[in-house]
Amino acid sequence: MSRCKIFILVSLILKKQNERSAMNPMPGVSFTAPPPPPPIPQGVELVLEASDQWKIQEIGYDGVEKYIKPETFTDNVGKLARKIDWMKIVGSDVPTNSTNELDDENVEKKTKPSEDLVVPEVGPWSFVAKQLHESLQQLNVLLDNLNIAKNTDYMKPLTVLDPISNFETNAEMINIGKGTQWIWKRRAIQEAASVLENAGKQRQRAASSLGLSDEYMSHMQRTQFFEELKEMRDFWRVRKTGDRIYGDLSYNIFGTKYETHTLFDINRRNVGKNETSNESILEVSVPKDLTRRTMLNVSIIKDEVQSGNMYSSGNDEHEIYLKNCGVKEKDKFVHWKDALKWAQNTLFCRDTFNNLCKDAIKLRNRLSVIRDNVLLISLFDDYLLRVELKFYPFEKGELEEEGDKYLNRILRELVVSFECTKFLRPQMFTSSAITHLPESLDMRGSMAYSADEIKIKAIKPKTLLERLLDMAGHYHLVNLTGKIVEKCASQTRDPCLTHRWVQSGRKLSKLTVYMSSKDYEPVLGSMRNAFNVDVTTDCVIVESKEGVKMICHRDPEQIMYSFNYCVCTYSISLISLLAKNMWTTPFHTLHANIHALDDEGKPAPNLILCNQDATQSVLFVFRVGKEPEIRIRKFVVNDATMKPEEHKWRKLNYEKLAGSTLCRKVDVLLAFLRDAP
Amino acid sequence: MERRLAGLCDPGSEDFHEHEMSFSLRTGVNMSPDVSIKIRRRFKPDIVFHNQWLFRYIGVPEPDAKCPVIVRKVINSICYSQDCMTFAKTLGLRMDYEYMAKGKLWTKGNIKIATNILSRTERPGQYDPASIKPVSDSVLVEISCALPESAEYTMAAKQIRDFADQLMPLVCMEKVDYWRKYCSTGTVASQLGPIPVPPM
Repeated sequence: MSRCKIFILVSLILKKQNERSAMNPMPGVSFTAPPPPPPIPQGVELVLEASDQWKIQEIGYDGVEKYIKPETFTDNVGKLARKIDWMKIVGSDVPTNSTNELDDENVEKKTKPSEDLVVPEVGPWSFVAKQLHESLQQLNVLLDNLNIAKNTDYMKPLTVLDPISNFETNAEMINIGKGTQWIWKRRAIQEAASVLENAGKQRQRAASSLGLSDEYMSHMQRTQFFEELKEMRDFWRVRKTGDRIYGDLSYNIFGTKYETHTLFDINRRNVGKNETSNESILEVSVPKDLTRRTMLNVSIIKDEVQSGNMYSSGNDEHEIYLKNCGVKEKDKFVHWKDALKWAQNTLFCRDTFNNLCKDAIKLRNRLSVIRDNVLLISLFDDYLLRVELKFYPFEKGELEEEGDKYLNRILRELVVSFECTKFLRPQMFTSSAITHLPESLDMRGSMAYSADEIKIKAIKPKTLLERLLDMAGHYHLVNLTGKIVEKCASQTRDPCLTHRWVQSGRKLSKLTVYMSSKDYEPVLGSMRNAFNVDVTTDCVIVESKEGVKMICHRDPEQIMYSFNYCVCTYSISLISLLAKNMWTTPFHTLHANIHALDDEGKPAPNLILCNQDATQSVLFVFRVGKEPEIRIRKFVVNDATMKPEEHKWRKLNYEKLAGSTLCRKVDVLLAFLRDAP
Repeated sequence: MERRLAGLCDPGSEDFHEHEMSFSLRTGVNMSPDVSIKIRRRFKPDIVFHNQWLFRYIGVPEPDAKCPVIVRKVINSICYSQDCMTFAKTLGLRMDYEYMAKGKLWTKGNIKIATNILSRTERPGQYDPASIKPVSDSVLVEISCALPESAEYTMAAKQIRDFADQLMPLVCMEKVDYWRKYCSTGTVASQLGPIPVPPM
């Protein structure tokens, strides 16, 4: 770089003035002479020259010039000062040291004021001085700030128009000038204004006349379309490929989705101008084989002639459905919410029925018949499980639920639970294949399981139909047991029977039957007075209070008989307790056998009592389902010497005994016999 | 990637952390391996999986140009051994390479999807966290489906291909033509990145 300074020297040379001084050599002599004419202005002579230029020190091989920096004023003064002979001016007498002393004094004098500013750290006034010093500093800072604020642009307050950004200023931000931001803002405001203006116009137009503009209508329809699509996405799987929007009707959680036969298309319906917007703007086209409503009815029927037609009844609804099959336009008017729900229900019912049929074919120990969308499979004994797939037209309206409501619901629950279960799982190592076997079998090879162990551990999950049959069987037996208990309670007046379901499950339920004797409960105290009934999927087991289990299978008579037997054993215990009662009729129990059998081999629990005087014996025999048999005779003191004709058992008429209940009758009888000779 | 898989696959995934060693048996004069065996074990502090090893033989890919995925035969065998390395050495197997795979396993019906993050140890034989270093930042995605030996695999192959295509922007699942590569370059084990594993 080359730098040069150009100094402009202005030299004014007034020639006239020089001439005048040259023409007047004697100032004492004066002449009158005319005044000189005014000088003709000849301008100013300017001499422009560069007073000093930086001298070039050297020029490098690459062409770079190095300059010598010109001397400054101080350098010149210093240079000239060195030429002055100071000894001449000051005088040779002044010793050289004095100058040093003077200099030192001057220096000291100069430094003194700076010492004044030093904050005293000790002394009584040090704190005050410190405070004063600090306040002086604060004032200085304030003064500086004021100067800066007043004289410079640094601390000017921002106006509204100035852009405010929290971002760090980078190169891009710097480039965006104020003007650009102005344009942006204006454009954004203009757009917002146009939207508001447009909306205002549309609203005015809509309010002023009922004939809404096409633009407004299409806008409304578009909005409604997207709103409904959003609503649909809350419940259904919806996807878009290209321009096509479609959904999935499948209900499975695991496995493949969006299979071809379960897809439905979503379109925007063409709504006329005058049509009210209450109806949906969305139009779904479900697969044609699913455009029908379906019910899956499950019931238990008895296999006998009176059951009527077990197969499809071919009733009116079915005929209506068949007639309407040709009318395909009808489904267009169905709201998509209903249409999708019905179509999925049809798919669900159809798949379920197909699965049940497949399972039925695989079950080898049960007979089954599939005909006319009806599956009949033997439950047990004479009972059949009937599953019917029934179609209805794709129209609005309530469908009447047929079959057994509980079983219908059970079937649905089972299918849903199957769908929610992940049967396939990866094995112990990720590279092994996916399996449906239980986890305990992963190590069957490495742990060297035997064939039997593998067989035991390989528990196959029961099929849908097997589970349904189990639950249906249990349901049937529970109903049966409930009816028998009620019948038994109505028949047996003494003791009174009450029952309670202790456990109610899908495959196991427990019933407890309580027996009680009116007015005699305080006397009986803590006597065990209940028996249990277990209802499984294919069997009813009655357990008496003594712990005797009676397996009744599914025979109602057997169940009834078991109940009555339990009542008999209870009566035996009841009478023995009554006889022991000291303050009424103290009798002794000579013999009691609840496992006794009669001549025909049927159970006949019996009990023999004798009074305290040992004069009379009383025999009670309880035959199942019959009136108690009561006999009395004179007490046999010695078997060897007794005369049979004097000690005959005399049967008493139970009906004619005084009292309304068994306890009352026995009480009266024993009171009568207590003092009998 | 995980979100995409969660949307596509069956609900729920399983974490895994496994160690794979590739062994080979060399008997010939030229040192090309006769047969290679992969041995796997689980890093899981569960006593059930202790000393359980997976021996795996993977056959060569079947030269089927029309099939959209790679089809290979696989023999898996799980064994219990307290000293598997000695056993492998006794069999004459020599280790070629080893790696650790950690990731998640997803399923969709029969299809199995594994996302592996591979790592290797700096000091062979020591698998403490200090000496394990990641191989790369990439994730190896493996989609496979197991079929019986003589079963027709066209349908399953199409299913896998369809599924793999849905991961398209994230992972590009390509069929690697091992056969051609093997002939041209003479190396097989140089494939890195997502490789679809076919029905086996």
